[in-house]
Amino acid sequence: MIEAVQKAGQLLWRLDPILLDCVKVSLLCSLTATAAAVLMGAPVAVLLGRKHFPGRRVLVVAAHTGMAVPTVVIGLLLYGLLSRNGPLGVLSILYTPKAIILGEFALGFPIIVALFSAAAAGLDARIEMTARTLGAGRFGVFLTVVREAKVGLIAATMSAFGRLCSELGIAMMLGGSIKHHTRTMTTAIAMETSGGEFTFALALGLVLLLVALGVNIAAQLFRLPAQRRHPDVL
Amino acid sequence: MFCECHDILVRYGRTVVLDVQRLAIPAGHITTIVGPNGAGKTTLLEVLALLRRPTCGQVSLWGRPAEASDRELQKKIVMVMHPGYMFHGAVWHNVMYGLRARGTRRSESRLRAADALKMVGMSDFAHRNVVDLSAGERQRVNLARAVAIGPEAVLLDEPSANVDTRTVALIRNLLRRLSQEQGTTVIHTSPGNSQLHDIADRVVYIEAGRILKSDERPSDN
Repeated sequence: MIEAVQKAGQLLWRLDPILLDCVKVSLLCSLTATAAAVLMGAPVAVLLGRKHFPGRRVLVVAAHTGMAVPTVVIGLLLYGLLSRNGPLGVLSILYTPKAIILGEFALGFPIIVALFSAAAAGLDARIEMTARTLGAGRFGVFLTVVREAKVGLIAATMSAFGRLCSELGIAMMLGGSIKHHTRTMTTAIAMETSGGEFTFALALGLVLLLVALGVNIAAQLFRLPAQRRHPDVL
Repeated sequence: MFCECHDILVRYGRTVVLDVQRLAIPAGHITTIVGPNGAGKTTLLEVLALLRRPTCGQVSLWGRPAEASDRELQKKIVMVMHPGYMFHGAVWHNVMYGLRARGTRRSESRLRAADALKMVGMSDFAHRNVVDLSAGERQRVNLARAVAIGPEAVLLDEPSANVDTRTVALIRNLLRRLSQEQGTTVIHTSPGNSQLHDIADRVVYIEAGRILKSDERPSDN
C-alpha cells in the first residue's frame, strides 16, 4: 500500500499525460455541468423558495427525489434518449464529453434546486418588498435574493460539484471511457483497478481527494467575513 | 394631490384587512395615519407604495392610475418598513442599494449616500456591518437609504417604534426638513402614542380597515 502511494506520488509529480487527460476531462465535464446547473437552477430555486403557487410542493419533492436518483439510472435514461435510435440520436453526442456534461447537468440541477431553494426559503420575508421599494426591478430583486442567500448557494454549488466530480455511472454509460477523449478520473479508476493497475488508480484517487480539498478551501474563502469593509465606501 | 383612493378593498384569504371608500392625501405635506395594531395601517402604506395590489378599487397617485407595473411611478415613492430589513454587509452598501437600483451615476450616488448618512448622524458608521448596529441606528440607516434616493413621497411605517428619544427627535427634524425644504410628501403611521403627531399637517384615523375620520391640523411649523 505504501509502495502504491509512493508510485502514485511519482505519477502526480511527473504530471503523467494519461493521468492529466483524465483529470482534464473530469474537471471540464463537472465544472461545465455545475455552472449550467447553477445558472439554470438558481432562478428555479428562488421561485420555489420564495413564491407560493399551486404545485410548488410537488416540485420541491421532485427536486429532492432527483437528488437521490442513482447516477446509473440517469445514465440509462439519457442513453436511451441519445442512442442512435433514440429521440435525440440525431445529435450524435453519445460517447462524447457533451453527453457526460448533459448527464451530469441532469444530476446537478436537482441538487442546486433542492439545496438552494431551502436556503432561499429561510430568508427574511421582507427582502423582496425592501428591494422593490428601493427601486429594484424583477431581475434586481432576484439578484438581491441570491446575494442574501449566497452562503446557501455556495454550499449547494460545492455539493453539486463534489457529486458530479465523483460520479461514475453517467461518465461510464454516456462517455464510454474512451482514452484521451471521455475517460474521467472515476471511470479510469474503475477500469485501471479491474485491469490490475492499482497504482495508477490510486494516483487518480489522490487527485480526486485534492480536488475535494481544493473545493472546500475555495468554499471557505468565498465565505468572506461579514465584517469586511465595502471597497466602494467614501 | 398625492393620492386618491376609491372603494379599495384588500383581503388576506377571506379576511378583509382594508376597506377604504374614499381617501385623499395632499402632496407635499406630512400626514399621520393613526390606528391600533391590526387596523390596516401597514397594508394601506403598502398599497400606496405600489407594493400590494388591492383586491379591488381604484388608486391614483399624482393624478395617475396606480399600477404596480408603472416603474416610473414606483420610483417616486419609497416605503420605510417597520422593522426595516437590512441587506447583509456594510451600512454603506445599504445606503447605496437604492441609488444603484435606480441607475444613479456612481459619483453622484457616493455624494448622495454620504449626504444621507450625514443627515441622520451616521457618517461614522458607513464601514460598520449592519449586524453590529442597535435598533435606533438601524432605523437611522433605514431612513438614510430612503432619503438618499430623493423620493417625492416617503411612507414610513411606525418610524418612532423601538427607538430612543434622541432618534425620535432626529426623525422629527428629518421629516420636517423633507416636507418643508424639498416639498416631499411624508406619510407615517402610528399606533396612537407617537411623539411625531405634532408635526403632522393632517391626521387620518383608521380602525378595523376603515377610515374613521381625517382631520386637517393648523400648521404651526
